[in-house]
Amino acid sequence: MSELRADSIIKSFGTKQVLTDVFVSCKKGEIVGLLGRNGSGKSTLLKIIFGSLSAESKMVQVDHKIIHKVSDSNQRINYLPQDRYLPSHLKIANVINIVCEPTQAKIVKNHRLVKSHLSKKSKQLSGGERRALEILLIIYSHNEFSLLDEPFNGIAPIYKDEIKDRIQERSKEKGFIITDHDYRNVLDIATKVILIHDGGTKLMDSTDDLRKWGYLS
Amino acid sequence: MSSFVKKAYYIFIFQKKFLLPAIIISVLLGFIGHSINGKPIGTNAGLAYLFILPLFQFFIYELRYAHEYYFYYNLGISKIALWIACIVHALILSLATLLL
Repeated sequence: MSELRADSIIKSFGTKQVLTDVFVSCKKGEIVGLLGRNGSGKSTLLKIIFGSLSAESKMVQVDHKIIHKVSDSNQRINYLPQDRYLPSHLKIANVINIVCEPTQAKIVKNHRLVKSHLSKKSKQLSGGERRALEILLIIYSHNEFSLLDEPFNGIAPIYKDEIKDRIQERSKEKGFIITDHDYRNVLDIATKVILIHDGGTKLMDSTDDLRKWGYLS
Repeated sequence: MSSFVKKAYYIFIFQKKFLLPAIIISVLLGFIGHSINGKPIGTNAGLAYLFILPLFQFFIYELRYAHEYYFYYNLGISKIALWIACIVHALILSLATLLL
């Protein structure tokens, strides 16, 4: 079974060490919830795993193949950043065709939030519509592991449940690592919860653990 | 589609955003250069293109739409590859205008 392993990750910004010897793993079929307070290094960790951010030390592997930078993974890992990342000059139908295989592209194109906007450009969508499209593209891409940074941010509550369902459905085919400040949504679907605390990672067994480590009051 | 052709297509999509403005400005500079130094418009435009194309990539992607790089990262293309492609493209076109 495919496995993504990120080990020995150390990252500092100036004199502040944000991540100290972090370990995270995700298997195909798993949804790993990554929680932590503001500034704890969640987004930094995802960017390091993805390969778009360097670190003082890191060992990222997918099935024992070491990944240093984005081009090493052969598109086995993809990443949903917090900010809008879709090319503003392309039509949405074109973007979907580029990112997804034909079968998955059909699913995304037929989604109720996307269907009526296929001939538009992403800059013509509202913030929520654009975010939903971005998430769907990442979820339905052919990559084996998807790293989602704040996927529920800007999404209407009515669509959050649907997105959670779709992530769960797609987790049969791939692995997910999700971080979001809306921790309830993460806990709803996560099969494993990891807390970043004082630069290290701790495996959480229950919400009591989250209280014990000071994430919840 | 082979992996190489796919990547070339993604790079074309990336550069499409600033290709037309870069060509228009280079041709305009070609005309201005011709009126100053008398050299062929194509030669001056080619030389301008060599600098204008990377300049457009810098202003459009590095300063204005930096997050769009993630779209190309997800397609397996690094920022370095996109910069190399831009410079190689500008070099080839500039050399072609010199040889014409």
